[in-house]
Amino acid sequence: MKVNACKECKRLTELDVCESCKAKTTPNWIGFVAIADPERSDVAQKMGIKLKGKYALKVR
Amino acid sequence: MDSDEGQQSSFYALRTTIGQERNVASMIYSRISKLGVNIYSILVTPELRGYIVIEALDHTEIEKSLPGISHVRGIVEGEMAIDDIEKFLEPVSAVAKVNLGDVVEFTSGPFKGSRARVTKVDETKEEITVVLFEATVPIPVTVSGNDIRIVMKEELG
Repeated sequence: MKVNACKECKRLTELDVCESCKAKTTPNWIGFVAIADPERSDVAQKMGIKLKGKYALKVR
Repeated sequence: MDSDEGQQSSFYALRTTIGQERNVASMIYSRISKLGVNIYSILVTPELRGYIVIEALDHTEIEKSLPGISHVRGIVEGEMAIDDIEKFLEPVSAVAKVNLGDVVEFTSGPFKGSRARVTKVDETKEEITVVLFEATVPIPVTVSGNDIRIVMKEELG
């Protein structure tokens, strides 16, 4: 299954449009971050992620 | 388990089979809510092959989530500092360290193994233009920064 990343919020999805911010998605991404608790996670805070889910580290 | 509200999280490295980092991370992530463990985030970065970084309340929370997950090779002893993690959160461009005049070697594609000299670097597209040493006619070739490694830096001065 092809996984894309949102060009805006970096959220991973199988769709062509991001479910949360409605921006276009791309298959060109690297790195992977799974955020389970955005409020307690230092990684989520540093990356500005407020919703739990799977994200790319970098989107081209 | 909610008495830990406000406690700081810690970072731990988990050894995995090389190439299975994202699968292991996904498996652990899918178990977090099911098991109710205090794991806050899981990080997989291309720079750390064979390892994933887990942010959790402590290492026992990670241990609780691991039984039965394939390709896990164990938790690395000790904690990682947030400063060690930060550099992975904003990956640098694939061509950030490439300069004009550097000698590079192709790591994939039809020119794999060939060496070339860098004549142009495009940071935004993460592409470099090179001239192959083996070519009799010096034709510039533009390739992705991910397909090369630096063999020799251009001597400064």
